[in-house]
Amino acid sequence: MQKDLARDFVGYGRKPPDPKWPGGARIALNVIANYEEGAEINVPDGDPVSEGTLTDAGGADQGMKARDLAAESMFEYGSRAGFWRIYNMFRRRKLPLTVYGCALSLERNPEAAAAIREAGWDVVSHGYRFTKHYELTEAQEREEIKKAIASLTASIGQRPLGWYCRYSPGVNTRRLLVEEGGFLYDSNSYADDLPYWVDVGGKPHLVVPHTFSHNDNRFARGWISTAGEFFTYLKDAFDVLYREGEEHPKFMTVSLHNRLSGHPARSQGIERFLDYVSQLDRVWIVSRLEVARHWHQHHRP
Amino acid sequence: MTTTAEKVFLDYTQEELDNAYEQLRWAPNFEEMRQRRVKLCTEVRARNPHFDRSYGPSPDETLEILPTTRKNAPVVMFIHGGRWLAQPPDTFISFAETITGAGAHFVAARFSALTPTPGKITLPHIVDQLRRAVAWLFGNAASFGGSPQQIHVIGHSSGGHLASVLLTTDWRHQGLPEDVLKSGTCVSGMYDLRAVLLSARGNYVKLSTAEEDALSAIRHLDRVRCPILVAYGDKESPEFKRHGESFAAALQERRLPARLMVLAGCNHFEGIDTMTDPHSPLATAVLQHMRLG
Repeated sequence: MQKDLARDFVGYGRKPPDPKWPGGARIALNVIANYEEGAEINVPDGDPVSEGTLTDAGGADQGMKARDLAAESMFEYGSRAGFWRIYNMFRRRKLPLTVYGCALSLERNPEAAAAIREAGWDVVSHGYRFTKHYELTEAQEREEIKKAIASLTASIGQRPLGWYCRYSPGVNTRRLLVEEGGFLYDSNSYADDLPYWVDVGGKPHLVVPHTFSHNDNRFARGWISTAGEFFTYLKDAFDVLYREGEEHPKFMTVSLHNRLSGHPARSQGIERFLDYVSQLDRVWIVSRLEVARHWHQHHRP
Repeated sequence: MTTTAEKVFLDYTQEELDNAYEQLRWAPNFEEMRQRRVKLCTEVRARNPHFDRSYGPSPDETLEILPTTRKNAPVVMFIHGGRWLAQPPDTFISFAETITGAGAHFVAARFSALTPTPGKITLPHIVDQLRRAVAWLFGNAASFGGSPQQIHVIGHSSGGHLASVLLTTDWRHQGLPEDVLKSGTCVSGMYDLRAVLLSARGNYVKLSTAEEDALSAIRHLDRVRCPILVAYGDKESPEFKRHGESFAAALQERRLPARLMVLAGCNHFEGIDTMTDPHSPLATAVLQHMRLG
């Protein structure tokens, strides 16, 4: 097992483990909605600038040192309209959706929190707000983690069992999550197709890697522009993993954002992707928490 | 002192959290209640036919059954409390007559116990025993006139926790119908183990994070297949109130058939004790809940 913070260029190598997905699935597919609106860097909350990241403004820093009302409202679209479009898509299809929730965002939209709670979706802590964990002292970060857990527990009624930092994690983050003791896994890694274990202070800790590839942030960064392109991109990834999954079953994460995929045009690509994967057999569309539980149960070192 | 003690869970300091899981602080009449229960059990046993059955190889794995006279009758399994620690094995039947009088068999589950310092018996082991007890009842209820199609569970305190775990068990993995349990009643239980493990009880309840997750019923509501009655006393510790309220709220938010009862004037032990009176609000609700009332 690799040690936390030690770089590992080898991983599973040529023989990845058989995940033993239920029903002999070739692929486990987890779709995430990042719920971040209201947690972003913004002047009304005391920050020096208002961040416009992953909005239709392109995320470019305009150098404004005052309220950026355009950016603020583009964020607000995400929680006011975008979230509900994604919510309805998954409810209508009776599919699980994992929410990467910033604690402050859910505090600011109790109706959305209630809908998530009632849907029984798993909420991964996406931090209290847009906090750069790598800039915090250990004591500050410990406090930040506690604050996020308390807030999400109040909003959702259950404590978060996974963690994914909004920015790069700090060198202490994983150790502090293990020290807190209540997390089943974190997703602060992009290193593999499958979940894997790391040794944190002599204890195995599960990492369920996240993705910047199957991620709608490609829209905001200008790398793709239409729903068709995103659909094709996701379908290509899925087809490869599904084919490989005949021999070595795979895991695929798709990461969406309310203020990106929640817009009508982009949402259509997700609909098409879900149509496509839903008509194939041996596809396990699953919450991130169930994947983590499965790995704990079947692959604990 | 001007320093504020560190909060370890919600708004609790370590001392406050430990106190919230120490029943004697909230129920000073504990010893009196215990003696009353022991006396009652002796009387109930003297008045009623009763017999034991083994559901597993360990001598701990037995059921004490008080049958009703009705044929093919419902079977009500009671899981006792006591912090998952050993309790006198003949003290779990105090309200059996409330059940048998309503036309169902009363079954007191006996199972292994944790020890005040961690030993070889673990909470997952106990849960496994109780799952086997349910499987045994499903396979053998007919042998004493019980209906395998009408199995109900009631649990109190740590037994309420164990009942909640049974109610969120995927029984298909045990080769049983997923709706093998037809109702559940959780009185003064705990439904998420995080705070429990952070409290002084964590000194003897040792679980991995995955075990904690698996045994926290509130995290597995997708597996609920029957109505659940949740009850707690209004004189209980704030933690036991919180457990009851949040479990019932989570069930109701999922549109699952659940009911919350707050037992007026009752502490942690007095609440379940009202079951001895078949006309008490709790007994009435439980019997209706099991369609016996």
